[in-house]
Amino acid sequence: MKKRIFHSLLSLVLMLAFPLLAAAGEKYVEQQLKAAITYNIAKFVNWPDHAFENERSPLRFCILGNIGFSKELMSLQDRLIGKRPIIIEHSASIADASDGHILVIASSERGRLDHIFSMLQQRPILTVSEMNGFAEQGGMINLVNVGKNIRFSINLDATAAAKLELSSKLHALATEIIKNESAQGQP
Amino acid sequence: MKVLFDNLSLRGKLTAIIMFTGCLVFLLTFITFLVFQRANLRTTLLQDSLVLCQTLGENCASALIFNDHDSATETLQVLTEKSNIIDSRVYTNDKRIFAAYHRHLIEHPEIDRLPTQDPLTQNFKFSPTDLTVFKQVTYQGEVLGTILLRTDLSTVNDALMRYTWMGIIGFVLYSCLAFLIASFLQRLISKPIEDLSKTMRTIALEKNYSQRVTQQRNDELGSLFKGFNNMLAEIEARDTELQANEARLDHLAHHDPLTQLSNRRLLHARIEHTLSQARRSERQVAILLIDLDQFKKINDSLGHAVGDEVLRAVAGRLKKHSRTSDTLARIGGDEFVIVLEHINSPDDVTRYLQGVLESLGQAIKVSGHELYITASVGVSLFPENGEDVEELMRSADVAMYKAKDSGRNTFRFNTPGMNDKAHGQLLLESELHKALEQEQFVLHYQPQIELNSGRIIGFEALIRWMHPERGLIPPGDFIPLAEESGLIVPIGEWVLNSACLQSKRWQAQGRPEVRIAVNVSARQFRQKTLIQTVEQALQKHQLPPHCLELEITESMVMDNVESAIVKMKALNDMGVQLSIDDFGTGYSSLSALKRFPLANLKIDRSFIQDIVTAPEDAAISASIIALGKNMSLKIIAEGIETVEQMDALNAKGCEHGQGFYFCKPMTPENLEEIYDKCWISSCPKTSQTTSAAQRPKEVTASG
Repeated sequence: MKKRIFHSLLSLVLMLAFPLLAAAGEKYVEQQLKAAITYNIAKFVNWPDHAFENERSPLRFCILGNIGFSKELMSLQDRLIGKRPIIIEHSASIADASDGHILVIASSERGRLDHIFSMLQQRPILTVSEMNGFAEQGGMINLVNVGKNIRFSINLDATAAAKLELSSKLHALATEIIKNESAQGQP
Repeated sequence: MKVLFDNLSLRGKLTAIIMFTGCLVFLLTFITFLVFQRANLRTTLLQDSLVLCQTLGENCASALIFNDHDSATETLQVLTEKSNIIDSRVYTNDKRIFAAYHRHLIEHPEIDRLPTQDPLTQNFKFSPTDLTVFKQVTYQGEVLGTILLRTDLSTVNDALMRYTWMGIIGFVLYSCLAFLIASFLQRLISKPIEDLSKTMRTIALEKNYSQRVTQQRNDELGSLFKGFNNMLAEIEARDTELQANEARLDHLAHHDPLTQLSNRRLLHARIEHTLSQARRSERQVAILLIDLDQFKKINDSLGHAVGDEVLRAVAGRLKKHSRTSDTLARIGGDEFVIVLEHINSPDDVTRYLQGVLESLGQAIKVSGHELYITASVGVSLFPENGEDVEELMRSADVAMYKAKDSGRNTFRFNTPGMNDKAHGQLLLESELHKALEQEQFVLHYQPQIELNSGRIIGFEALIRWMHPERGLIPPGDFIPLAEESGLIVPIGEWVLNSACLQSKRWQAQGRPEVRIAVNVSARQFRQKTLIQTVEQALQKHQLPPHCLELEITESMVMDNVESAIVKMKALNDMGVQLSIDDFGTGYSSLSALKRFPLANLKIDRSFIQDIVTAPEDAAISASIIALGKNMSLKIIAEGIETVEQMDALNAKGCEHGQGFYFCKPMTPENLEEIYDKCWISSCPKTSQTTSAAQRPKEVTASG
């Protein structure tokens, strides 16, 4: 009888505890995916030639503000994209990030977005953020949660203005593409 | 199969060979085409599949990078446009299925695992129904996974099947076309051969070997034609030679080689032809049978070469006398036949024959000899003497003998009466000829007895005919016929010779000389050659003349007394005894009898038969005996059958007799026993009349 009660209690505890454990695990996977997507997107972007000194010059990732997946992203340090090694660094201000190639903007910077974009002007820097409505506000790559998966939308006006070329393969994977001031849903 | 092929005609064989070759080439070409086409189709499909695989892989690369299953699946969905793609899968590096496409959404067991082949060396695999290709998905040198594509081979197989069907239909059409072409082409070879065989058949049928094959060719058939023509030429040459030979043989078969006149065979045909024409036009035809007289003598004395010359000369003279429409033939040794057409009366024949006989009568000069030839001619007339060849020839034959009987060098027509009589006897006559040739005659001998002593004083030779079918034929049945036909002459000669031979033989066997009496026929007696014949017979057998007695009848001598006396004297001078046979039945002139150099008188059996019972016969017998005694002639009584008859004759002073009472006529062998018991020398050398003996010989050799 005691044994039965123990089993029942155990199963009750496990039933209560599992969603918590599961949520913690999901969060971890989400950060990893976001880091991987950010990293992988770089493979599908063409920077203008003047953005690099030579073909072996490193590709710089600048993180502005606190992002949830900075640790995961940092772990990708020194990997190669093509022949270029990647450098990932935290930027204290937007001015620090002016010599980078990819700028990952934390959700906390929402209030200063206009300032950031005006600072960047039309430099060839790919802007990536997970904040809601990033692309609509002029950001280039907006990471979005779709169920348990992480997807992204693209603002082609912004990339075009920055002289960045995005592979058409990215178009196919994007949930939303913004072009000529209009938002286009993924076909 | 080989038998079947062998039984085909040449046309069939050629057609079959051409068709077989054509179809074989077609099939080989078609199979080669199919094999190449299959390889080609497969290569194309493989390349297409690889390209498609490559494209899909590239399109799926980003999906793999961003782990976007839906996107990858969507990418694969484009394959719905290609109906021959069975399924496609994208695998991650750790060999999990990342995305999949299936045409029918049916799980395929094989698809769940990667092919085991090394993807780098072998990135495709053909199975009978499908093609599997796979390719690594890379992006910027990084291997992201593997994509697999399975393609249905049905398009290839369908295409091949379509080609196969087209091939089959094409094959059928081709076979028909090949058959038509083969049928046409085979004629190039078979037509000349057929023509050749047709020509051969025509030649064989018409037997016209002057025909030639006219086709000119330079191939093997050409040499066949040439050979055939050469053969024909050879055959033609032989045929010509054969025909010449046949003509020669035909001439030989129908002509007499010596005189070049027609022979008996051709003559018969000619006469038959002439008769059939004469029958239609109701004309007369005369058949002349010409037999040279005494021709045998020329052959015997001067040799056959001279004889042949004579025959040729005779033929020449006959030819000169005959018209071209007349048929002239030599049918035997010295027998010629002339067939006269277009005669109006027997007088025409007579005039013609007189000319012929006159012409023949002129001397024939042959190798230094000057010979005189006569001929006996028998004439038969159509339609009087017969309706067909045989009848007419027989009739002419009978008439010819009549001419001979009439003393030769003349001709005789046949009268219907004579012909009828002769007809029945002709058979027997021909048999007589045969009997003479085959020696069917035999001589039996009847002893002549001295009545008071019972000793044998001589024998009378009596002829018998041992006919092979009819048995023994008595002389009364054939002698008259032999007399009439003239055969009696050779028969008589044979009797004379046989008797002499027998007498000599008996002497040679140690028996004493004995007289043998031989009957002489009227015709024989009339022969000029009689004396010569007797002389030769005696010489030949070395027989003393006094051992031969010739019996003649009254009538023979009374016909022509003077010539008979001359002949009898000649014989008597020779030493041969003469006797009158059957005395008392004829009409002997006693004055003539007195002049005959006779030795014996033989009383006819008719008087002896009734000598005991009939006083008249007894008286006649007595008178004859008395007459004989008075004329110093021995009397022989014939046909003594009883002891009474013998006694009666003895009483009347008859010295000799013969008859069944003593001995019937017997063969020499049977006779010899008796002969040896009671032999006496019986040759009365004293019986020769001195007057006759003193006369010089008057024997003359006649032609």
